[in-house]
Amino acid sequence: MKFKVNISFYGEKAILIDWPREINEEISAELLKVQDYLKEEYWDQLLDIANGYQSLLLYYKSTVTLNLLQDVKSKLSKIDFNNYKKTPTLWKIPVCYDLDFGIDSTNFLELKGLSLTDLINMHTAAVYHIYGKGFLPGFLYLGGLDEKLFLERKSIPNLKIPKNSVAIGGQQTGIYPSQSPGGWHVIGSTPLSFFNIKNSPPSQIEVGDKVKFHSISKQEYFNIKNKKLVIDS
Amino acid sequence: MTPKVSYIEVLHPGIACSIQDAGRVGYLSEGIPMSGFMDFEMAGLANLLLGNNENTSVIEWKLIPPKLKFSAPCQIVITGIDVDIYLNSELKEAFKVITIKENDSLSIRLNKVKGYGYIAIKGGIRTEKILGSRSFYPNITKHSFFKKRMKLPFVPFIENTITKQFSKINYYKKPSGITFVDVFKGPEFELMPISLQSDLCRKLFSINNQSNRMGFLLNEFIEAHKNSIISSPVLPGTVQWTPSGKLIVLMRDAQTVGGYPRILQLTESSISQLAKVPTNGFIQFVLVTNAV
Repeated sequence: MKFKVNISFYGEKAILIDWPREINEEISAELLKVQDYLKEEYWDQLLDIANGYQSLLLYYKSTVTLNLLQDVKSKLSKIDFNNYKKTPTLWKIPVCYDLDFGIDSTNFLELKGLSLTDLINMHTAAVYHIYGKGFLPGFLYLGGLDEKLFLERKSIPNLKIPKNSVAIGGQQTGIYPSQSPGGWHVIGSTPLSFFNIKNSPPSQIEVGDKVKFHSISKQEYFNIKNKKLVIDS
Repeated sequence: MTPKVSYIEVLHPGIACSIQDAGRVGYLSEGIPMSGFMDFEMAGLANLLLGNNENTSVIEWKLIPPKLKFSAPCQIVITGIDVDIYLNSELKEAFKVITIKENDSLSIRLNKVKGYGYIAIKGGIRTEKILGSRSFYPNITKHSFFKKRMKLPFVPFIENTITKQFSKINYYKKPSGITFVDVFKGPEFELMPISLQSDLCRKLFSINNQSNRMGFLLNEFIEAHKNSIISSPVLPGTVQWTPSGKLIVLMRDAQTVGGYPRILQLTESSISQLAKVPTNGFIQFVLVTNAV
């Protein structure tokens, strides 16, 4: 392994693997390979594996022991990363930045001293890395936001952020998969849904994949929405 | 022949009543909480008394139980502490099989202790299973809580599967006082000052009235701080140390990741013990270590 990790108990039935405490794509890539590998190695003993930016939580069916902890350690020393080469999918996601959808854009642009064109150019230029999902079912944590667009979350959250809103919170950007309260600044909306609980898994987009946004008009937004087009990858 | 489906009609939705089973396992990476019975012990008892598998879907209440009407005969067991149960106007016992006739209506009154309670039905409730579970959760299942006139499907009972009427247990509640909650050290235990680490298990904490299925907020302050961590996985039973100095014990509907230091982790059984503690009831943490 490239990075030094710390392996510890997490309560009665879980083991935590911690990478160095920083957000970077190399750590994310290594962590995802380890996740795939351990999923295979412990398929009959694990209930689930959860991931954060720089940690994995192995949640077992029964009580974890020191022997198991040692076993995880020794498995990690044997992992052959060449067996876990997965090319990440790039998802090209259309976003309408019209102020009718970007309900917080006016305020956001004023605070940042930017024009709407600046915002659209910067937000669509970056290729975002998916570090994880959480906060809401299917909510994607996207890293790689242009630092000129960083803005602290609102101190008072919106009670109803509409489904499919694209928003900025702190150093991250994300898409709300369902209507929810939230403190992020809404700058647009995508006509596509990526999260459907009738499917298993409910989303085709995986942690470790990449996302690029492109700007569409209101007309295009409704065309796509009404045709229910699938996402382009 | 497939058995016909009958319904329980919700006459009054109560407060925060839901369908729960053992939960939705395997979707933490999708950001989907596990959910499931707040109190596995109580829900499991109700199911076992009926001869159900202990993980069968049941009705869960907190504070105000629902009023229900049954469209067909069935058998149920109610587990809850300090409750009065009325079938039509007849008083019934908790922790004992109750036989229901067509059009019977059920109401439950809570007395002093307002904890989580359960109504199990023979064969289970048959609301839609989503990602392996019937547990209600916003944006996953159609409903988050009971609504008036909602209909909960069940398979009506078949004569020869009748559970013996004498299935009963005596459940004695501990006299009200302090509930001891077994905990392991969490990953960020050492972020606390040494004095606080040793004080934590000597302090009494009480449950705030803002507590719910996502988490129990504790009333007492320990110490304000400015430590945050990079969003990391959490589980039901994780104790978070918020910047204000208050503690939150994450419960079954907890979000899958969090950014507050995770100072303690409850044992599996103590999560159910904590669920029994009413608002303003007292708890004390007891540190335990992992098996070798």
